[in-house]
Amino acid sequence: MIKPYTILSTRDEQDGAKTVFFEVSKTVMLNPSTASTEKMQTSIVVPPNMDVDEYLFADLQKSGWV
Amino acid sequence: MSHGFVAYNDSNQVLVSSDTRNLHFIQKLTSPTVDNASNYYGGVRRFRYRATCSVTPVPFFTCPTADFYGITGVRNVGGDQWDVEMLRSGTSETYPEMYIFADPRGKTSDETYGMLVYRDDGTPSFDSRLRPLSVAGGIGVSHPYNPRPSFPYGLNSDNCASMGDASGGFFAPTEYNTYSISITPSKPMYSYASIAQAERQASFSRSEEDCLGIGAYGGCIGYGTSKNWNSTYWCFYRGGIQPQGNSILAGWIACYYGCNWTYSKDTSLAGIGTGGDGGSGGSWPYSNETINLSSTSVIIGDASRYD
Repeated sequence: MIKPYTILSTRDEQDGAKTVFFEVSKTVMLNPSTASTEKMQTSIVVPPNMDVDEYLFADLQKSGWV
Repeated sequence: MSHGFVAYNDSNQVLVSSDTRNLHFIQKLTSPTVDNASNYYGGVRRFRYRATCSVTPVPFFTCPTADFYGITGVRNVGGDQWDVEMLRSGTSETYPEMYIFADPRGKTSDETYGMLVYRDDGTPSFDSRLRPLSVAGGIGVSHPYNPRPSFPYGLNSDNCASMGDASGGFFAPTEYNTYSISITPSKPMYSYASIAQAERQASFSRSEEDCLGIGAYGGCIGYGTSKNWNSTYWCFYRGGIQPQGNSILAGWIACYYGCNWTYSKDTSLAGIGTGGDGGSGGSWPYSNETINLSSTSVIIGDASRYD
């Protein structure tokens, strides 16, 4: 799977969770000669024992970025 | 002057001692000055009470609404005047009653009967005429690491255009820890200092590439323009408590919030850049961090004894 996001860094938290800093982008053509790329850079907390990629992908799907 | 006294309860805990100072009731305050009010970010109210006390006051507050409350500062503003600053979530215009306590040097009494205990320096440690504080319970609370686990949608990248309910909803805190405690007073009051802090931010950027012609290899021919927008929205949180039945919730209150934006435009002619450059780097001292999460004491008293 080609991931539409980039994980910039992760931080281990006290309760076993992980704070994942990431960047996600999407590009749309406004007209034949103009491309617009939107990007979001923020963080998400992945609960303990959860797969980071699965959790992040599901969250980005829910918020409409993927 | 002679000194020396100690009294224990039936659990052998010290109630009164000439070696320590008990807290005593100084004054009751209502109708605070509201410094900031927002109905976004989960609701934010910053307000303060002006207390008169010759020594450092120890404030207790009631929780009249189902919101998170916390004391964020006790500042001397000159002489015996103190500002007690509080923070509350939610949108209600109902504010707590505040009960100020201090050691018995904070107030004098004209009554001529009762019990007065002195320390070895001649200052009072206990004065039954001043309505000593009776503690009804207490617990240590910790806050969850994140005010909210993720962000629900995107915000506008252009010039911080998403404000009000958009960015407020984006950052509104949702997480809390729950602690069970038996809250026995009919009118409980709480002493809780908001120590935990957190900052969360999210950057949104957008770029537009505008080209009059595309060459054989995909490059830009003719006059081209590249525009870039970036907005970084941020919110700063403080810890708060919310009594709920026989539980105390330890959650978060949005305190300060804002946004920083940048915009740049670069141009090129026949594929050759004609202007524009820039760069940035380094790191901010405090971003997406949470600090001071160690257990904080919540002390409970009965406010009806001091009305």
